[in-house]
Amino acid sequence: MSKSRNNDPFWWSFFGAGGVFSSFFVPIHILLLGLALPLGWVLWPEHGDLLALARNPLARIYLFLLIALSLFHAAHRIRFTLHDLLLAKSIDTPAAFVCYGGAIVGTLCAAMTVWTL
Amino acid sequence: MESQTTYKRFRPAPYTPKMQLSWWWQKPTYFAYIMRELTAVFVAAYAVILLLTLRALSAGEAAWEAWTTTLQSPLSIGFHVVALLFAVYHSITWFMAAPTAIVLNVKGKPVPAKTLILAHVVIWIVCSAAIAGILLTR
Amino acid sequence: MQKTITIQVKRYIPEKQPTPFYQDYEVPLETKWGVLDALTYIKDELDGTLAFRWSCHMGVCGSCGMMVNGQPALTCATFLEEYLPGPICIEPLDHFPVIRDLVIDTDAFMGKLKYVKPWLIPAEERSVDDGENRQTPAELAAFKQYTLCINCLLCYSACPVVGLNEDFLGPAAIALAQRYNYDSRDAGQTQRHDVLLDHGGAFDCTLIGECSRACPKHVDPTGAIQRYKADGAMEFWKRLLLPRGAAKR
Repeated sequence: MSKSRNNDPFWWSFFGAGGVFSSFFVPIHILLLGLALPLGWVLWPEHGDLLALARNPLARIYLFLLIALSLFHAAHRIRFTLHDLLLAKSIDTPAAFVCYGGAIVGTLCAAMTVWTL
Repeated sequence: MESQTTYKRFRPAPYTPKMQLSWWWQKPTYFAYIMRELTAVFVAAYAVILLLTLRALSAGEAAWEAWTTTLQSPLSIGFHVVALLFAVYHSITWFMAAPTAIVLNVKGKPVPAKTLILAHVVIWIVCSAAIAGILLTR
Repeated sequence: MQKTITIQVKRYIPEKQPTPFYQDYEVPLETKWGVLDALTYIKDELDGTLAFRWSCHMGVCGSCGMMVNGQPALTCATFLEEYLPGPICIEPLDHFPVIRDLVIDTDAFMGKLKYVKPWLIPAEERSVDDGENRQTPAELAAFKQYTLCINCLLCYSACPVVGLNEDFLGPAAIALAQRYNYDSRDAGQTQRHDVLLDHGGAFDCTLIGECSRACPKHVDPTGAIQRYKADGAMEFWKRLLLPRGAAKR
Protein backbone atom coordinates (compact mmCIF):
# COMPACT_ATOMS: atom_id res chain seq x y z
CA MET A 1 0.00 0.00 0.00
CA SER A 2 2.74 2.45 0.85
CA LYS A 3 5.84 3.50 -1.05
CA SER A 4 7.50 5.62 1.61
CA ARG A 5 6.88 6.49 5.22
CA ASN A 6 4.01 8.89 5.64
CA ASN A 7 5.20 12.12 7.27
CA ASP A 8 1.74 13.68 7.44
CA PRO A 9 1.42 13.07 11.22
CA PHE A 10 4.58 15.19 11.67
CA TRP A 11 3.17 18.12 9.71
CA TRP A 12 -0.27 17.61 11.20
CA SER A 13 1.15 18.14 14.72
CA PHE A 14 2.39 21.60 13.71
CA PHE A 15 -0.85 22.24 11.82
CA GLY A 16 -2.76 21.51 15.02
CA ALA A 17 -0.55 23.58 17.27
CA GLY A 18 -0.68 26.44 14.77
CA GLY A 19 -4.44 26.15 14.49
CA VAL A 20 -4.85 26.54 18.23
CA PHE A 21 -2.41 29.44 18.45
CA SER A 22 -3.69 31.32 15.41
CA SER A 23 -7.36 30.87 16.27
CA PHE A 24 -6.80 32.44 19.68
CA PHE A 25 -4.44 35.26 18.70
CA VAL A 26 -4.58 36.19 14.98
CA PRO A 27 -7.97 38.01 14.90
CA ILE A 28 -7.05 40.49 17.65
CA HIS A 29 -3.77 41.37 15.91
CA ILE A 30 -5.56 42.00 12.62
CA LEU A 31 -8.19 44.07 14.41
CA LEU A 32 -5.65 46.20 16.32
CA LEU A 33 -2.70 46.58 13.96
CA GLY A 34 -4.61 46.37 10.70
CA LEU A 35 -7.79 48.33 11.49
CA ALA A 36 -8.11 50.00 14.90
CA LEU A 37 -4.75 51.78 14.87
CA PRO A 38 -4.56 52.75 11.15
CA LEU A 39 -8.15 54.04 11.21
CA GLY A 40 -7.49 56.04 14.35
CA TRP A 41 -10.04 54.26 16.57
CA VAL A 42 -7.28 54.15 19.18
CA LEU A 43 -4.02 56.11 19.45
CA TRP A 44 -0.74 54.66 18.17
CA PRO A 45 1.68 53.83 20.99
CA GLU A 46 5.10 55.57 20.77
CA HIS A 47 7.63 53.77 18.57
CA GLY A 48 10.09 53.45 21.47
CA ASP A 49 7.48 51.99 23.81
CA LEU A 50 6.35 49.48 21.22
CA LEU A 51 9.93 48.42 20.51
CA ALA A 52 10.61 48.00 24.23
CA LEU A 53 7.47 45.88 24.51
CA ALA A 54 8.47 43.65 21.57
CA ARG A 55 11.96 43.22 23.06
CA ASN A 56 10.57 41.67 26.22
CA PRO A 57 11.81 38.04 26.19
CA LEU A 58 8.28 36.68 26.61
CA ALA A 59 7.02 38.90 23.79
CA ARG A 60 9.83 37.65 21.55
CA ILE A 61 8.88 34.03 22.19
CA TYR A 62 5.20 34.82 21.69
CA LEU A 63 5.79 36.66 18.41
CA PHE A 64 8.05 33.91 17.09
CA LEU A 65 5.53 31.19 17.94
CA LEU A 66 2.64 33.18 16.51
CA ILE A 67 4.37 33.71 13.16
CA ALA A 68 6.02 30.29 12.85
CA LEU A 69 3.07 28.18 13.96
CA SER A 70 0.61 30.21 11.85
CA LEU A 71 2.80 29.55 8.82
CA PHE A 72 2.99 25.78 9.47
CA HIS A 73 -0.74 25.66 10.12
CA ALA A 74 -1.47 27.46 6.86
CA ALA A 75 1.09 25.44 4.86
CA HIS A 76 -0.60 22.14 5.75
CA ARG A 77 -4.08 23.44 4.95
CA ILE A 78 -3.09 25.08 1.69
CA ARG A 79 -1.31 21.90 0.55
CA PHE A 80 -4.49 19.83 1.02
CA THR A 81 -6.74 22.54 -0.41
CA LEU A 82 -4.70 22.69 -3.62
CA HIS A 83 -5.28 18.96 -4.03
CA ASP A 84 -9.00 19.38 -3.24
CA LEU A 85 -9.50 22.25 -5.67
CA LEU A 86 -7.42 20.98 -8.58
CA LEU A 87 -8.40 17.29 -8.26
CA ALA A 88 -4.82 16.37 -9.14
CA LYS A 89 -2.90 13.95 -6.99
CA SER A 90 0.26 14.74 -8.92
CA ILE A 91 0.24 18.25 -7.47
CA ASP A 92 0.61 16.98 -3.91
CA THR A 93 4.38 16.44 -3.77
CA PRO A 94 5.35 19.76 -5.39
CA ALA A 95 2.69 21.52 -3.29
CA ALA A 96 4.14 19.97 -0.13
CA PHE A 97 7.62 21.21 -1.03
CA VAL A 98 6.41 24.74 -1.74
CA CYS A 99 4.07 25.00 1.28
CA TYR A 100 6.29 23.44 3.95
CA GLY A 101 9.40 24.99 2.36
CA GLY A 102 7.75 28.39 2.56
CA ALA A 103 6.83 27.82 6.19
CA ILE A 104 10.41 26.82 7.02
CA VAL A 105 11.84 29.90 5.28
CA GLY A 106 9.28 32.09 7.05
CA THR A 107 10.16 30.51 10.39
CA LEU A 108 13.88 31.20 9.86
CA CYS A 109 13.05 34.83 8.94
CA ALA A 110 10.90 35.13 12.05
CA ALA A 111 13.65 33.68 14.25
CA MET A 112 16.17 36.16 12.83
CA THR A 113 13.84 39.13 13.13
CA VAL A 114 12.80 38.32 16.67
CA TRP A 115 16.42 37.64 17.70
CA THR A 116 17.81 40.90 16.29
CA LEU A 117 14.84 43.04 17.27
CA MET B 1 -10.77 1.54 -12.57
CA GLU B 2 -11.05 -0.90 -15.49
CA SER B 3 -12.52 -4.28 -14.85
CA GLN B 4 -9.92 -7.03 -15.06
CA THR B 5 -12.39 -9.73 -15.92
CA THR B 6 -12.53 -11.17 -19.45
CA TYR B 7 -16.04 -12.46 -18.87
CA LYS B 8 -18.06 -9.58 -20.23
CA ARG B 9 -21.64 -10.61 -20.82
CA PHE B 10 -23.02 -10.24 -17.34
CA ARG B 11 -20.08 -8.45 -15.74
CA PRO B 12 -19.16 -5.68 -18.19
CA ALA B 13 -16.90 -2.80 -17.23
CA PRO B 14 -18.30 -0.75 -14.37
CA TYR B 15 -18.90 2.93 -14.87
CA THR B 16 -16.91 5.17 -12.52
CA PRO B 17 -18.20 8.72 -12.19
CA LYS B 18 -15.49 11.40 -11.93
CA MET B 19 -15.57 14.27 -9.50
CA GLN B 20 -16.12 17.65 -11.13
CA LEU B 21 -13.92 20.71 -10.54
CA SER B 22 -17.08 22.42 -9.34
CA TRP B 23 -17.71 19.79 -6.63
CA TRP B 24 -17.46 22.25 -3.75
CA TRP B 25 -20.19 24.45 -5.23
CA GLN B 26 -22.68 21.60 -5.13
CA LYS B 27 -23.41 21.51 -1.37
CA PRO B 28 -23.41 24.38 1.13
CA THR B 29 -21.37 22.24 3.54
CA TYR B 30 -18.70 21.61 0.89
CA PHE B 31 -18.55 25.34 0.14
CA ALA B 32 -18.23 26.15 3.84
CA TYR B 33 -15.42 23.60 4.05
CA ILE B 34 -13.44 25.20 1.21
CA MET B 35 -14.00 28.66 2.73
CA ARG B 36 -12.67 27.30 6.03
CA GLU B 37 -9.61 25.92 4.27
CA LEU B 38 -9.06 29.22 2.47
CA THR B 39 -8.79 30.99 5.83
CA ALA B 40 -5.28 29.51 5.83
CA VAL B 41 -4.32 31.87 2.98
CA PHE B 42 -5.18 34.84 5.20
CA VAL B 43 -3.56 33.35 8.29
CA ALA B 44 -0.34 32.89 6.29
CA ALA B 45 -0.61 36.35 4.73
CA TYR B 46 -1.09 37.91 8.12
CA ALA B 47 1.88 36.04 9.59
CA VAL B 48 3.99 37.63 6.82
CA ILE B 49 2.50 41.07 7.54
CA LEU B 50 3.28 40.66 11.23
CA LEU B 51 6.84 39.75 10.31
CA LEU B 52 7.11 42.89 8.13
CA THR B 53 5.65 44.94 10.99
CA LEU B 54 8.35 43.66 13.34
CA ARG B 55 11.07 44.38 10.81
CA ALA B 56 9.78 47.94 10.36
CA LEU B 57 9.64 48.35 14.11
CA SER B 58 13.26 47.29 14.57
CA ALA B 59 14.50 49.32 11.57
CA GLY B 60 14.05 52.64 13.38
CA GLU B 61 11.53 55.43 13.72
CA ALA B 62 11.58 56.54 10.07
CA ALA B 63 10.90 53.04 8.76
CA TRP B 64 8.15 52.66 11.35
CA GLU B 65 6.49 55.93 10.22
CA ALA B 66 6.58 54.72 6.61
CA TRP B 67 5.10 51.36 7.59
CA THR B 68 2.23 52.86 9.60
CA THR B 69 1.43 55.11 6.62
CA THR B 70 1.33 52.02 4.39
CA LEU B 71 -1.06 50.38 6.84
CA GLN B 72 -3.39 53.38 6.45
CA SER B 73 -3.73 52.98 2.68
CA PRO B 74 -7.18 51.90 1.43
CA LEU B 75 -5.64 48.74 -0.03
CA SER B 76 -4.27 47.76 3.37
CA ILE B 77 -7.54 48.55 5.14
CA GLY B 78 -9.51 46.56 2.58
CA PHE B 79 -7.18 43.59 2.95
CA HIS B 80 -7.39 43.68 6.73
CA VAL B 81 -11.20 43.80 6.68
CA VAL B 82 -11.33 40.64 4.54
CA ALA B 83 -8.51 39.02 6.52
CA LEU B 84 -10.33 39.71 9.79
CA LEU B 85 -13.51 38.08 8.50
CA PHE B 86 -11.60 34.99 7.41
CA ALA B 87 -9.56 34.90 10.63
CA VAL B 88 -12.70 35.05 12.77
CA TYR B 89 -14.22 32.29 10.61
CA HIS B 90 -11.06 30.26 11.18
CA SER B 91 -11.32 30.76 14.95
CA ILE B 92 -15.00 29.85 15.10
CA THR B 93 -14.66 26.74 12.91
CA TRP B 94 -11.58 25.69 14.88
CA PHE B 95 -13.43 25.96 18.19
CA MET B 96 -16.43 24.09 16.77
CA ALA B 97 -14.15 21.27 15.63
CA ALA B 98 -12.23 21.04 18.90
CA PRO B 99 -14.74 18.75 20.69
CA THR B 100 -14.41 16.16 17.89
CA ALA B 101 -10.80 15.45 18.90
CA ILE B 102 -10.88 16.24 22.62
CA VAL B 103 -12.52 13.78 25.00
CA LEU B 104 -12.39 15.24 28.50
CA ASN B 105 -13.75 13.38 31.47
CA VAL B 106 -14.62 15.28 34.62
CA LYS B 107 -15.69 13.13 37.56
CA GLY B 108 -16.09 10.17 35.23
CA LYS B 109 -18.48 11.95 32.91
CA PRO B 110 -17.57 13.29 29.46
CA VAL B 111 -17.69 17.07 29.17
CA PRO B 112 -20.41 18.02 26.63
CA ALA B 113 -19.27 19.46 23.29
CA LYS B 114 -21.09 22.74 23.93
CA THR B 115 -19.16 23.31 27.15
CA LEU B 116 -15.87 22.67 25.35
CA ILE B 117 -16.75 25.13 22.59
CA LEU B 118 -17.82 27.72 25.14
CA ALA B 119 -14.56 27.26 27.04
CA HIS B 120 -12.63 27.93 23.82
CA VAL B 121 -14.62 31.10 23.17
CA VAL B 122 -13.98 32.32 26.72
CA ILE B 123 -10.23 31.67 26.35
CA TRP B 124 -10.34 33.47 22.98
CA ILE B 125 -11.93 36.56 24.53
CA VAL B 126 -9.51 36.55 27.47
CA CYS B 127 -6.48 36.18 25.16
CA SER B 128 -7.72 38.95 22.85
CA ALA B 129 -8.41 41.28 25.78
CA ALA B 130 -4.96 40.56 27.22
CA ILE B 131 -3.20 41.34 23.92
CA ALA B 132 -5.27 44.50 23.46
CA GLY B 133 -4.54 45.57 27.03
CA ILE B 134 -0.81 45.01 26.73
CA LEU B 135 -0.55 46.75 23.35
CA LEU B 136 -2.74 49.76 24.07
CA THR B 137 -1.59 50.64 27.59
CA ARG B 138 1.93 51.42 26.36
CA MET C 1 -54.44 16.32 -3.98
CA GLN C 2 -51.37 14.88 -5.75
CA LYS C 3 -51.90 11.23 -6.80
CA THR C 4 -48.49 10.31 -8.26
CA ILE C 5 -44.89 11.36 -7.99
CA THR C 6 -42.10 11.25 -10.58
CA ILE C 7 -39.07 9.12 -9.77
CA GLN C 8 -36.07 9.98 -11.91
CA VAL C 9 -33.63 7.06 -11.90
CA LYS C 10 -30.03 7.20 -13.11
CA ARG C 11 -29.65 4.03 -15.10
CA TYR C 12 -26.58 2.26 -16.39
CA ILE C 13 -27.00 -0.75 -18.64
CA PRO C 14 -23.48 -1.53 -19.85
CA GLU C 15 -24.45 -4.00 -22.56
CA LYS C 16 -26.80 -1.45 -24.15
CA GLN C 17 -25.09 1.87 -23.65
CA PRO C 18 -21.61 2.75 -22.30
CA THR C 19 -22.82 5.84 -20.42
CA PRO C 20 -25.56 6.26 -17.81
CA PHE C 21 -28.86 7.93 -18.63
CA TYR C 22 -31.90 9.09 -16.69
CA GLN C 23 -35.30 7.45 -16.90
CA ASP C 24 -38.52 8.82 -15.39
CA TYR C 25 -41.17 6.67 -13.76
CA GLU C 26 -44.53 7.77 -12.44
CA VAL C 27 -45.43 5.97 -9.21
CA PRO C 28 -48.49 6.25 -6.94
CA LEU C 29 -47.97 8.64 -4.06
CA GLU C 30 -48.91 6.32 -1.23
CA THR C 31 -48.72 7.64 2.29
CA LYS C 32 -45.86 6.07 4.26
CA TRP C 33 -44.16 4.77 1.14
CA GLY C 34 -40.40 5.01 1.32
CA VAL C 35 -38.25 5.63 -1.74
CA LEU C 36 -37.41 1.91 -1.64
CA ASP C 37 -41.12 1.08 -1.90
CA ALA C 38 -41.33 3.25 -4.99
CA LEU C 39 -38.36 1.42 -6.54
CA THR C 40 -39.95 -1.93 -5.70
CA TYR C 41 -43.18 -0.75 -7.36
CA ILE C 42 -41.22 0.23 -10.47
CA LYS C 43 -39.53 -3.17 -10.61
CA ASP C 44 -42.77 -5.10 -9.98
CA GLU C 45 -45.20 -3.09 -12.09
CA LEU C 46 -43.39 -0.84 -14.56
CA ASP C 47 -39.91 -2.03 -15.50
CA GLY C 48 -38.46 -5.36 -14.36
CA THR C 49 -35.02 -4.49 -15.73
CA LEU C 50 -34.28 -1.97 -12.97
CA ALA C 51 -31.47 -3.22 -10.70
CA PHE C 52 -30.99 -2.14 -7.08
CA ARG C 53 -29.97 -3.69 -3.77
CA TRP C 54 -32.10 -4.02 -0.68
CA SER C 55 -32.72 -6.52 2.05
CA CYS C 56 -34.16 -5.75 5.46
CA HIS C 57 -36.37 -2.73 4.71
CA MET C 58 -35.80 -1.49 8.28
CA GLY C 59 -32.52 0.42 8.38
CA VAL C 60 -30.36 -2.40 9.68
CA CYS C 61 -28.82 -4.25 6.73
CA GLY C 62 -27.25 -1.23 5.08
CA SER C 63 -27.75 -2.39 1.48
CA CYS C 64 -30.24 0.17 0.13
CA GLY C 65 -28.04 3.27 0.31
CA MET C 66 -28.43 5.56 -2.73
CA MET C 67 -28.18 9.21 -3.62
CA VAL C 68 -31.63 10.75 -3.13
CA ASN C 69 -31.75 14.24 -4.64
CA GLY C 70 -27.98 14.38 -4.33
CA GLN C 71 -27.79 13.30 -0.68
CA PRO C 72 -26.68 9.84 0.40
CA ALA C 73 -29.57 8.12 2.18
CA LEU C 74 -30.98 4.75 3.14
CA THR C 75 -33.91 4.56 0.73
CA CYS C 76 -35.95 2.44 3.14
CA ALA C 77 -35.80 5.24 5.72
CA THR C 78 -36.48 8.08 3.26
CA PHE C 79 -40.12 8.84 2.56
CA LEU C 80 -41.76 10.09 -0.63
CA GLU C 81 -43.70 12.71 1.33
CA GLU C 82 -40.46 14.44 2.29
CA TYR C 83 -39.94 15.39 -1.38
CA LEU C 84 -43.32 16.75 -2.46
CA PRO C 85 -44.20 17.65 -5.12
CA GLY C 86 -41.24 15.80 -6.66
CA PRO C 87 -39.57 14.72 -8.83
CA ILE C 88 -37.18 12.59 -6.77
CA CYS C 89 -33.82 11.87 -8.35
CA ILE C 90 -32.32 8.50 -7.44
CA GLU C 91 -28.68 7.80 -8.29
CA PRO C 92 -26.17 5.15 -7.23
CA LEU C 93 -23.92 6.10 -4.28
CA ASP C 94 -21.21 8.59 -5.22
CA HIS C 95 -17.52 7.69 -5.39
CA PHE C 96 -18.10 4.02 -6.25
CA PRO C 97 -17.85 2.19 -9.58
CA VAL C 98 -21.36 1.37 -10.82
CA ILE C 99 -22.00 -2.20 -11.93
CA ARG C 100 -25.53 -1.66 -13.17
CA ASP C 101 -28.25 0.95 -12.52
CA LEU C 102 -28.17 1.57 -8.76
CA VAL C 103 -25.83 -1.30 -7.88
CA ILE C 104 -22.33 -0.27 -6.86
CA ASP C 105 -19.09 -2.23 -6.64
CA THR C 106 -18.02 -2.47 -2.99
CA ASP C 107 -14.89 -4.60 -3.56
CA ALA C 108 -12.45 -1.73 -2.92
CA PHE C 109 -14.18 -0.93 0.37
CA MET C 110 -14.12 -4.58 1.46
CA GLY C 111 -10.39 -4.63 0.79
CA LYS C 112 -9.82 -1.47 2.84
CA LEU C 113 -11.86 -2.87 5.70
CA LYS C 114 -9.45 -5.79 6.03
CA TYR C 115 -6.42 -3.48 6.27
CA VAL C 116 -7.56 -2.03 9.62
CA LYS C 117 -7.97 -5.50 11.22
CA PRO C 118 -11.52 -5.00 12.50
CA TRP C 119 -11.47 -7.89 14.92
CA LEU C 120 -10.29 -8.47 18.50
CA ILE C 121 -6.55 -8.96 18.78
CA PRO C 122 -6.09 -10.12 22.38
CA ALA C 123 -2.80 -9.57 24.24
CA GLU C 124 -2.54 -13.32 24.80
CA GLU C 125 -4.47 -16.29 23.50
CA ARG C 126 -7.32 -17.34 25.78
CA SER C 127 -9.06 -20.66 25.88
CA VAL C 128 -12.73 -21.31 26.61
CA ASP C 129 -11.73 -22.53 30.07
CA ASP C 130 -10.41 -19.05 30.93
CA GLY C 131 -14.04 -17.89 31.07
CA GLU C 132 -15.63 -14.71 29.81
CA ASN C 133 -13.90 -11.47 28.95
CA ARG C 134 -15.35 -9.17 31.57
CA GLN C 135 -16.07 -5.56 30.79
CA THR C 136 -17.50 -2.76 32.92
CA PRO C 137 -20.30 -0.55 31.56
CA ALA C 138 -17.76 2.29 31.31
CA GLU C 139 -15.41 0.10 29.24
CA LEU C 140 -18.32 -0.81 26.96
CA ALA C 141 -19.36 2.84 26.64
CA ALA C 142 -15.83 3.71 25.44
CA PHE C 143 -16.45 2.05 22.06
CA LYS C 144 -20.14 1.09 21.84
CA GLN C 145 -21.08 3.95 19.52
CA TYR C 146 -18.61 2.67 16.90
CA THR C 147 -20.16 -0.82 16.91
CA LEU C 148 -23.38 0.58 15.45
CA CYS C 149 -21.96 0.91 11.93
CA ILE C 150 -23.93 -1.11 9.36
CA ASN C 151 -21.44 -0.62 6.49
CA CYS C 152 -24.07 1.14 4.40
CA LEU C 153 -21.34 3.32 2.82
CA LEU C 154 -23.35 6.56 3.01
CA CYS C 155 -20.32 8.14 4.69
CA TYR C 156 -18.11 7.18 1.73
CA SER C 157 -20.51 8.91 -0.65
CA ALA C 158 -20.71 11.99 1.55
CA CYS C 159 -16.94 12.34 1.88
CA PRO C 160 -15.17 14.31 -0.87
CA VAL C 161 -11.80 12.93 0.26
CA VAL C 162 -12.99 9.43 -0.71
CA GLY C 163 -13.78 10.75 -4.18
CA LEU C 164 -10.54 12.72 -4.49
CA ASN C 165 -8.17 10.11 -3.11
CA GLU C 166 -8.79 6.46 -3.93
CA ASP C 167 -6.19 5.30 -1.37
CA PHE C 168 -8.11 6.83 1.56
CA LEU C 169 -9.35 4.09 3.90
CA GLY C 170 -12.51 6.12 4.46
CA PRO C 171 -14.74 7.04 7.40
CA ALA C 172 -16.37 3.68 8.25
CA ALA C 173 -13.12 1.67 8.11
CA ILE C 174 -11.31 4.08 10.44
CA ALA C 175 -14.29 4.26 12.81
CA LEU C 176 -14.30 0.47 12.91
CA ALA C 177 -10.56 0.43 13.65
CA GLN C 178 -11.30 2.75 16.56
CA ARG C 179 -14.11 0.46 17.69
CA TYR C 180 -11.43 -2.17 18.40
CA ASN C 181 -8.74 0.27 19.53
CA TYR C 182 -10.99 1.49 22.33
CA ASP C 183 -12.11 -2.02 23.33
CA SER C 184 -10.56 -3.02 26.67
CA ARG C 185 -10.23 -6.63 25.45
CA ASP C 186 -8.11 -5.61 22.47
CA ALA C 187 -4.35 -5.17 22.24
CA GLY C 188 -4.04 -4.62 18.50
CA GLN C 189 -3.49 -0.85 18.53
CA THR C 190 0.14 -1.09 17.41
CA GLN C 191 -0.79 -3.14 14.34
CA ARG C 192 -3.56 -0.74 13.46
CA HIS C 193 -1.26 2.25 13.94
CA ASP C 194 0.89 0.85 11.14
CA VAL C 195 -2.07 1.17 8.78
CA LEU C 196 -3.76 4.28 10.14
CA LEU C 197 -0.54 6.34 10.28
CA ASP C 198 0.37 5.35 6.73
CA HIS C 199 -0.55 6.90 3.38
CA GLY C 200 -4.30 6.62 2.93
CA GLY C 201 -4.82 6.49 6.69
CA ALA C 202 -6.45 8.91 9.09
CA PHE C 203 -4.17 11.83 8.20
CA ASP C 204 -5.60 11.99 4.67
CA CYS C 205 -8.86 13.20 6.26
CA THR C 206 -9.31 16.98 6.18
CA LEU C 207 -12.23 17.11 8.62
CA ILE C 208 -15.14 18.03 6.40
CA GLY C 209 -17.61 16.38 8.76
CA GLU C 210 -20.01 15.15 6.08
CA CYS C 211 -19.57 11.50 7.09
CA SER C 212 -21.11 12.13 10.50
CA ARG C 213 -23.96 14.15 9.00
CA ALA C 214 -24.72 11.33 6.55
CA CYS C 215 -24.48 8.48 9.06
CA PRO C 216 -27.95 6.98 9.72
CA LYS C 217 -26.68 5.27 12.89
CA HIS C 218 -24.95 8.27 14.53
CA VAL C 219 -21.63 6.47 14.62
CA ASP C 220 -19.82 9.82 14.22
CA PRO C 221 -16.86 8.71 12.07
CA THR C 222 -15.62 12.34 12.14
CA GLY C 223 -15.07 12.09 15.88
CA ALA C 224 -13.46 8.65 15.54
CA ILE C 225 -10.98 9.94 12.96
CA GLN C 226 -10.23 13.15 14.87
CA ARG C 227 -9.57 11.19 18.05
CA TYR C 228 -7.33 8.87 16.08
CA LYS C 229 -5.33 11.82 14.73
CA ALA C 230 -4.60 12.93 18.30
CA ASP C 231 -3.61 9.38 19.38
CA GLY C 232 -1.79 8.66 16.13
CA ALA C 233 0.28 11.84 16.25
CA MET C 234 1.42 10.88 19.78
CA GLU C 235 2.37 7.42 18.50
CA PHE C 236 4.20 8.95 15.53
CA TRP C 237 6.35 11.15 17.79
CA LYS C 238 7.00 8.24 20.16
CA ARG C 239 8.21 6.10 17.27
CA LEU C 240 10.32 8.98 16.00
CA LEU C 241 11.95 9.96 19.29
CA LEU C 242 12.07 6.86 21.47
CA PRO C 243 14.57 4.10 20.79
CA ARG C 244 13.27 1.13 18.81
CA GLY C 245 11.37 -1.34 20.93
CA ALA C 246 10.52 1.16 23.63
CA ALA C 247 7.84 2.72 21.43
CA LYS C 248 6.44 -0.62 20.31
CA ARG C 249 6.50 -1.91 23.88
